[in-house]
Amino acid sequence: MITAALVGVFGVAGALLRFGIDSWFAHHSSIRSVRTDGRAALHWPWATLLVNVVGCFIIGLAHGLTAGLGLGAEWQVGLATGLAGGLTTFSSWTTATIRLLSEARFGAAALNVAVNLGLGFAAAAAGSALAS
Amino acid sequence: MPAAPWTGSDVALPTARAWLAVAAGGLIGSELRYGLGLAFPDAPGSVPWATLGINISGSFVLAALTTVWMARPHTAFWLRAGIGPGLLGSFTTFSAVIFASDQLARAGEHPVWLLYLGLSLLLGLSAAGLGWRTGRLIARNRGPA
Repeated sequence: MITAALVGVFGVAGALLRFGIDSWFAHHSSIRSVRTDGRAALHWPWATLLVNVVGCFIIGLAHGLTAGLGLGAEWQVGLATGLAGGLTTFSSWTTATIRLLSEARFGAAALNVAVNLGLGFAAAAAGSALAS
Repeated sequence: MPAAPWTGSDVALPTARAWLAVAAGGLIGSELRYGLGLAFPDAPGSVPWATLGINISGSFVLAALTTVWMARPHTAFWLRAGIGPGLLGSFTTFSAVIFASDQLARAGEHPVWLLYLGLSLLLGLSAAGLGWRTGRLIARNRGPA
């Protein structure tokens, strides 16, 4: 019951943080594209990359922290399933990749897949290493 | 065109109603994912099937809604925000895929994590591609509203 509540609270926090980062990037790229006079800046899912990498770091950290600090298992689930799970997103990543493919931007699509995976694994390993 | 359809055609920052909808969607999505994980627990040393199913279904629905909303941008912004980044964004997870793959690799379960990552990519992207087309068909059949 406590675990479910922690997943809920941390999940909402992760979702709001992701939405805030998404909105910030959308807001700023729209300002930039106005400045470039008609030539709209090409979109690339930077916000999703950022939240996914940070979330992978958090899930690695959560795994090591509970062992190191003697926190209960409910905190590990809250941080990993709630915060890291709510912050990161798989569906926006795949949908953005398909959108890039639909615009024939094959290099950008391949880069989106590769960079999320590469930095995600590195961040999870860094989080685990830092906590242990 | 905005970076994502839920960011709206206007460039204004989200309203309080949109933030509230994202919070509600985030709560439902996170609890659904947690509940499915309890109902279908991962067997040690095997593919996390619950997460795989969550990510495939979430990719299909988000991609379908994305093309529907591109064709019908007048759908209320708070509703798009609550369902897109709120519910589906929180329901699906990237960190669990990476972390489980990393743990399986450290345990020497190389065929398992390669299968898991391969299936996540192949089926997740296929589901999003199928959803993208399905949404376009739905929008076309309904006509510009």
